[in-house]
Amino acid sequence: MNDKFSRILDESIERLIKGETIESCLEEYPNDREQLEPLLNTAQLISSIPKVSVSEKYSRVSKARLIARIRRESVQAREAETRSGIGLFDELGLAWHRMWQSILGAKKVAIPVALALILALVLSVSGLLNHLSTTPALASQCTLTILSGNVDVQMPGSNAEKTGTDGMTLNIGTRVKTAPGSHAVLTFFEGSTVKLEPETEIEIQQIEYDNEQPTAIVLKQWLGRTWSRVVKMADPGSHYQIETPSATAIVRGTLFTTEVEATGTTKVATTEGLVSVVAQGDEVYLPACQQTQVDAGEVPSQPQPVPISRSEIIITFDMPATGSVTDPTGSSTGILPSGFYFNQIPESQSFLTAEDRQQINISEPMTGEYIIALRYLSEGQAHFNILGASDGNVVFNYTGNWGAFQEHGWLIHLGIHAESGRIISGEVTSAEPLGEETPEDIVEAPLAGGKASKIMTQDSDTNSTADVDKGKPEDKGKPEDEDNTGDKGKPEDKGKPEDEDNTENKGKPEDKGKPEDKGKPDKAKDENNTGNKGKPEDKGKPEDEDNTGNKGKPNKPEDEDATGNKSKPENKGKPKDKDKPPYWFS
Amino acid sequence: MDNKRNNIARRKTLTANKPENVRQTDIIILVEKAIEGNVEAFGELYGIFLDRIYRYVFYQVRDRMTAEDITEEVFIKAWNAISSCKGKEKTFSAWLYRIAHNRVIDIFRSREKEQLIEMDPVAEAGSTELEVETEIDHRELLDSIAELPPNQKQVIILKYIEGLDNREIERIMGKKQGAIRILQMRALARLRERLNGGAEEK
Repeated sequence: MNDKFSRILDESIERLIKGETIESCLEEYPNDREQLEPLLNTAQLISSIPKVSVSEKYSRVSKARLIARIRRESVQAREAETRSGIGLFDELGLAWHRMWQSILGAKKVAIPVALALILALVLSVSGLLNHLSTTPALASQCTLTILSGNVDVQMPGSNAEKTGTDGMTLNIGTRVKTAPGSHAVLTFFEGSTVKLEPETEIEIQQIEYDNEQPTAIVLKQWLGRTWSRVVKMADPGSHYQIETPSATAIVRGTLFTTEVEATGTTKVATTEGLVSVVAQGDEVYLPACQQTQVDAGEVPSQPQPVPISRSEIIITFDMPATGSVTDPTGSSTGILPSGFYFNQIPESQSFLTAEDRQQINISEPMTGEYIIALRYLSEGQAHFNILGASDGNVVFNYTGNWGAFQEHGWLIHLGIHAESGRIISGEVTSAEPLGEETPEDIVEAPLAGGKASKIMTQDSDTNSTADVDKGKPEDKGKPEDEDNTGDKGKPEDKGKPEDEDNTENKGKPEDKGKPEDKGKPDKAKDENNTGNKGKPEDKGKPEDEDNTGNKGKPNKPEDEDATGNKSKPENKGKPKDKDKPPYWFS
Repeated sequence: MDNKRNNIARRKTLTANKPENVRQTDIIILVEKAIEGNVEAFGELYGIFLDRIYRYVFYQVRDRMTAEDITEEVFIKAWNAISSCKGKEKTFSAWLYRIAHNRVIDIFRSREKEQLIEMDPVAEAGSTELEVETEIDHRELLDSIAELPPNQKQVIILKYIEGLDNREIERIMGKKQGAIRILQMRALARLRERLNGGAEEK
């Protein structure tokens, strides 16, 4: 009976699809009318659901990212095979050489011994051939990047510490310790990174990656503060784990901080994703914007919301540009045009908004210079906005609409003065074309023993100790919600950076968006070597560009120039005229 | 709200949300090239199927970022296993949907294992963009669809949202058409019951 009715229902639905009405279908099956009608109505209701689609921009950007990833993984796989093959050949050659030496050096060589040696050689060759044909991609190392200061490393099996070098490869069992005021990053094969804050000590306990087996990264954190960015692991059995004297944090794709005090007390706070914290047989889960504390010998405390951050820098980049931010410690967060994503600044986030605009959020910035890099995926002008807000008030707000300068991107220098987690003032001090040297210090394709595509660095600012906003775990206050577990904590106080494509106006709330401020003639026009006109029409309201509808933007300018900061961007280190960006902005 | 639902239901036709018309022969050619290692050809396939796969995943996970992540993983898996399509280029679409379906199931299973903490109901309802795009009726309906048993949910999404015909659904799900009809009937009945129950509460 069910089967018969299901057939009637299906046929009726097919007729509806062809354009018939419900009534005509019901007339065909009068005996089943009572049962059929509500189901046909439901079917129609479902078909009325608006279809969610990706935008063309997202399609284009994600396609480029996918192809870049496919090519990168392909190269990595080939390099891995080649490397292991060469290694085996070296060993084989050495074995052969030793054997030959022993044969030459021996007064009497028993035939059975010689045969055994030859047999061993044959077996080695067979083993090599097998190895070449089925080489799993094992990457049991990671790459050390020193952002600033000094880092000591203690090799496995050794008690002695030695000075680490930028770019060195670290094996399982290595201990890494950052000196006071020093910052470093470990980059793993699949892109996960762990940023070490000053006076932090960790040990690499396990790194396993194989196409057939789960990925595993296990670190032991003895002291200090780390910021982990874990690439999502596709295999359910894979995991990233940080053990501390009092707890273990386990994740499969997320952003989180781990802080260990000298007493062994551990604090874990999640920015994105989900972290499991285990101690004394008890386990708590931390979705985004949640934190827990584990005292030595105790179970984890119940998850508590992370306090909303007191201040934030929000930077947005429209297509066709992508961007990154480098903080005074040399840590960077952002995206390269290749689609490579990196996140080294604690509690920062970089994501694509609903309008396919890239947004970078920096929580409680520190005093010092931030460098914003603007890179272009294709020709054309790109709108960007740099907003600083503190306690819900806009402190500074810059906007621009720039084209690439002679196919190069731009570096924008932003000076920040912060105290107690609040932004006191911020101003763009200069802008220059992006040259060979880039501000980021990232390893794009870390493989065992490899150090591919390391980006050159500028001198990093090491003078950050005193001002480093250690980001007490309690002030995470997270972001809009770019975490796929449905993160909340939206700083509803964001408001809109209207878009004063102005010029010298800075932190002067009352000046914001004043039409007459548009493109200060002297700046605007042009050093527009790229034909960039910088029109007033570059508004760019990013009202809510976070793909989860984060609309809170700092409360507008209207008023409180929180700091009374009126000085114009002096352009310290002003670029030459011809290198000036097409727009200056406020 | 009930009136709204009735008004929608009284529309005269059932829209067949057919996928974009890309010639099947073109798709087959692209698949053949991708099998030979042509990344650009695979990129073209990505452009053709991105919307469908994304939508298929999105309506199940109800979160935009998760849907984007899963969609990328689906295509990466597809690329890594593209050689298995050799000789079966015509069924590339069904194969891709199966990868997507399996990946979504994996996510749900791993979430169950991780015992996710109960989430904020507002956040759980889906992304804000969904709220912006859909009426209240649709949100309730989507919630109901999300709560269907996996097979029933899959039939509803593939047929009514993706606009696939029974034959294609048969290939994707690996079930006979009779079974698909039964699943469809049960899914619609369950949805009807849920929506009616919601209307009565109001």
